[in-house]
Amino acid sequence: MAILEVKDLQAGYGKVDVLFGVSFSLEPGQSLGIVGPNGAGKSTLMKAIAGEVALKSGSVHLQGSPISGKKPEDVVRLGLSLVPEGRQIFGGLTVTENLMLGLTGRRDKASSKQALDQVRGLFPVLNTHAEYQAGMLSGGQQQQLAIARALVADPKVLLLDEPSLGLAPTVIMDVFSKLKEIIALGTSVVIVEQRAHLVTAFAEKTLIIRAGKVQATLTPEDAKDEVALRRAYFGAGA
Amino acid sequence: MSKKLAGLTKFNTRELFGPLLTVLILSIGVGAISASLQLAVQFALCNLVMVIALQVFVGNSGVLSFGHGAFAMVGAWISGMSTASERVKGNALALQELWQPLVGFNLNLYLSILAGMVLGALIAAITGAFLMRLNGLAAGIATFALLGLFYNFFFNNITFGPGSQALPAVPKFSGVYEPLVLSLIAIVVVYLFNISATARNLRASREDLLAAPALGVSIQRVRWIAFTISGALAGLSGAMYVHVAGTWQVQDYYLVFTFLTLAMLVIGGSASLWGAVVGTLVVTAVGQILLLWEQGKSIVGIKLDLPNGARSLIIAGSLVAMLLWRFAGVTNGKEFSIPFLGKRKSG
Repeated sequence: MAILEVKDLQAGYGKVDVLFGVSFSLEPGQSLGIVGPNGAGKSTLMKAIAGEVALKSGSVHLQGSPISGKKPEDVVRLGLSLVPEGRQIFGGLTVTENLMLGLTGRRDKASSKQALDQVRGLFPVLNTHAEYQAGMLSGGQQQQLAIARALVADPKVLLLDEPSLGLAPTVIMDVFSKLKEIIALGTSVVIVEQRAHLVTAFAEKTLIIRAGKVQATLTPEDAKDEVALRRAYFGAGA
Repeated sequence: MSKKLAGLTKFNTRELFGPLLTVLILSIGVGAISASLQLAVQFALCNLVMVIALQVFVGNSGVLSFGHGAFAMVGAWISGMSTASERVKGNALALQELWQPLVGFNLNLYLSILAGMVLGALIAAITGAFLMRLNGLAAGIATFALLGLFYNFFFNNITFGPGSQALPAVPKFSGVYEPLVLSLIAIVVVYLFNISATARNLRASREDLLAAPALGVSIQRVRWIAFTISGALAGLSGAMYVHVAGTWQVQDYYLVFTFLTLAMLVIGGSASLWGAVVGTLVVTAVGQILLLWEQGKSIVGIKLDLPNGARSLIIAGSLVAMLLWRFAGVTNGKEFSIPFLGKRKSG
């Protein structure tokens, strides 16, 4: 059974439709990339799945149960976390406080502590900077904090919206190697990225979205053919 | 010394005992100087409880509330009404139309204060269920409307109170110790709330209204909890005030009270308990000095003949200056710390 299933999803803002019937499914422990030009609807897709943007039609199922129409806080409790574009860490709070916010939906103290220990092991910098204000961290450290904060909620599916945004190339590689470790631990991951080559090579399959529709599905093999990738990304005229 | 407690962000002995000892020492020390200063200290302690009540909600959520005067108003009303003597309630000119069950309604002083807290919390809980959906300007206007609603109810109603007149002969505290103990308890309650998971979630919602729900935070729920707790504390403040003044008058809890306590919070720094305490102390001290100068008296040899109203003007000016140049207040939003006793890496 797919852990995440999106069917004919249509969403937008007010009277403006952004997504027109997007469908895909994700298996447990699988990674999925989503790429596309600016304005394609990638971030809207992430927000719609996470409950931040209302669906106009279609459905989203998590582990076979419908989550469409639920509030973002309920979606998190059901096992789907979003690391939003721009990270949205709470700069005025400490690193520890940011991490503890990720535990909001969890009731079991023992497993919460275990989750905190696990992410601190995965991202040691968060341990050494535990009492720093999150706003004082570097961009890469903030990205690690944003991912760690989403992970402590124990998501079955982790959505990441542009995790490489504003990061230096070496830091991007660090972040993606951490994502590999997260996937190896059994969490399914959906990554939205502008860097098509990077995510196509990384994810088990990658969807290309243009004008609110899925235009093509790529595999890591496709990342080797630069021209075909560019054509798929920009359309036949590229 | 600091240690971690389960479920709390971080318990820091210094951050709690700093405000406690400051309030304790200043209240006893200044109160011992003269009877008039002892009375000023008692009023300052009432204001302090109101300001930390505001800090619980306004400081943590970032949502402005003008409505807390209403909770103080009802807290003071029930505490005053239930302790004023039956003879006075039955005979006072302003209470001719008073609803009969209220004439015979009597509680002892401490139960009446508890009743003030409960009524403040109850009104806050009921109104908060609707108001906590609002943000920004809408929240400010709606809470101001709440204040206006309660003011107009009491001002024009002679069945439940004296209307625009005063409820006389409310028993007074015997000295500074009763309001002081209540204030210290309130400080402990606020500190424990501020390091709780609920307050942490509330501060997250203050920083980002979209990111907080994405982490599982129910903004309306955490705001409602804080609003109810701050309503209880505002009710306590009102109940204290009525037993310091010895009379209840609805005007005492309206615009001047609302403006003054919000100014204290902003000037001290709304993001921390220490800011609320410092704001209350600074504004009270400056206010007292300016009042003496308005009255033509000299302070340690310095005499300024200030015109009447100068005090309010200077406090209002300070508020504007603070909002313009130091939005985080005198304390910069930090909790109590003594730099030479150990450096903290963050605020």
